[in-house]
Amino acid sequence: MAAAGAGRLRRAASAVLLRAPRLPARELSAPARLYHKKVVDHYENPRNVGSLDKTSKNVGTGLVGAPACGDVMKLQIQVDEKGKIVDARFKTFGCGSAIASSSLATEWVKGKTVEEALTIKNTDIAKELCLPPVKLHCSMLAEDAIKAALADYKLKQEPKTGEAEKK
Amino acid sequence: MEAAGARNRDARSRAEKSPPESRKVYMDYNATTPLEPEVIEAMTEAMREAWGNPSSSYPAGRKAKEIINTARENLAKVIGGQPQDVIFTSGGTESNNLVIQSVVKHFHKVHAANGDTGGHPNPVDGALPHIITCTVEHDSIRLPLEHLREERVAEVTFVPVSKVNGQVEAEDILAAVRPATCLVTIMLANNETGVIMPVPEISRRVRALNQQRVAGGLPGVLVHTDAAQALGKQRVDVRDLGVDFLTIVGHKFYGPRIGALYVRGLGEHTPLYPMLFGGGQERNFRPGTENTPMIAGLGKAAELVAENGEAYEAHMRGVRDYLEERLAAEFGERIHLNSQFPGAERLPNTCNFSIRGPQLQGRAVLAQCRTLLASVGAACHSDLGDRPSPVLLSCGVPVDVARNAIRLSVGRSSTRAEVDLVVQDLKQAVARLEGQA
Repeated sequence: MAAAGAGRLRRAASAVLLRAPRLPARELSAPARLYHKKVVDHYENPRNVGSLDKTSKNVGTGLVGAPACGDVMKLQIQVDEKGKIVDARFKTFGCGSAIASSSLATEWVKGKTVEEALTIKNTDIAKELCLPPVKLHCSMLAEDAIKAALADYKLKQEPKTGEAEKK
Repeated sequence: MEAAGARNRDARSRAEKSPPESRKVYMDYNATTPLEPEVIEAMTEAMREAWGNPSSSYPAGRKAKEIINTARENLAKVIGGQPQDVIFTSGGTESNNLVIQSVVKHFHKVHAANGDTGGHPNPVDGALPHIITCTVEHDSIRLPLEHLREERVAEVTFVPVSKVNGQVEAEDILAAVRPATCLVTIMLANNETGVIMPVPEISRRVRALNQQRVAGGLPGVLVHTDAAQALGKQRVDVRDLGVDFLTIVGHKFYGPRIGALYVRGLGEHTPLYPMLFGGGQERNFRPGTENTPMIAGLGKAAELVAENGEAYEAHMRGVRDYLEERLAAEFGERIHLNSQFPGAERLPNTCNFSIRGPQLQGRAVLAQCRTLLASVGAACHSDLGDRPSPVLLSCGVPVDVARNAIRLSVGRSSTRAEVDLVVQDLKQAVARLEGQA
């Protein structure tokens, strides 16, 4: 995922550089046409890319988005017996901001309890990464992914569901 | 892989060199929808393979007939009705006009005839047929009724909608019923505000009323709903709605520009008097050699809604709710959400809002938008100039707020990414208008 992504970033970055001299005067007032360095950092040094065993009872898996709509995020959490998230992994198909948002999300959920993780808001993610307005939906998707993973985990803890037939 | 990558790189840098203003985001799905690819496929196939006259007995004609029958079944299924209760028309306008004309004719035939009814006095003798509707209906209901009223062919009561929830109240409808009332027609969902009218409740109460009325020799009151905006966005079932007539409009649910009319127990329980006379098609209720390709498309569009309706609804609601969140976050106190009425259900895709400010008339803002394609209200009212929408005014929206109204209606393929672009676009449009003060 990261390997394929790096090529995209280079292409996108080169496209940005190609675009810069052609900006008409009034366009220069639009801020941040380049990726913020925090987003670039998560892109080039992504944290927690990978998968956890989705059949495990302590793992919650959230899969959100749709290829047709542009982004897909899979976020998984591993929770210990005390209800604390001890590990998290993500895989994201999407733009740099989407990857950064989900990478940050895995960083933030680690060490939090399931209840605390529910309080993570898309606006916090967006603010931390300084996402431009046209990329705010990426942070929304990351919040959805966290909630989906938590919901999946909670569902697995329910007494009657013995099978972990999750997507 | 590398070669493909190089090609993609060129294509992408070419695409990204084009100015961002050329990217358009359509959010006017209440005005009309594009055709789904499967619908186009069904239509072109019918054009190619089923061009025969459906009334002909040779194979080419029979193939066309089959297609029409299948389409009719699909349409019936998606509204929970029987195929024999569905007739195809040229669109919502024709269906609406057909219903209104029919009930008037029926009234005259049954009740204005001065036959001797065995000595019983006719309670509506001499009276004109009376029709009840509300103040926020589409023109294809409002104007025929106003026309009949002017011609003194019928009497009409336009029941005002509540200024609290934007809905018409069943109480007010029932209160307007007179001895000569023969029809109540209320749209299922409003195209400008998205508010859903309490049609099931109205039908229920009219049905209860009818039991007494018919016993006393009064005409039974029929109930019609124009479901143009609702079908494809939420579940529409004629059994739950309890209506006698329902108007179906193809180009609101990714189908072609024709429509249909559902009539409960067509020809048996509920009479329908045709507007057109001719070759006997549609059991003489709507003659005219059938428009097979369009009908094929309508049937396919209905099939898609039957299969995926819930997914469509959930998706549109998600995107619309995100849109309202972003609008509120971006404009804060300045924004007035005209389509959010307390206690009223609304369509999952519609967001009617106004940004407060003296220079921010809806049309002016949209003119400054470079990405967003939307409208200030009903598309057929685009010639209103700067006058605020009568529908919004009826719902109690103040004039200066109504003047600034913009209607966004999202669709099946709308994304949150598009919402972000649109909100940005609106922001720059407002900034430009206010910077030019």
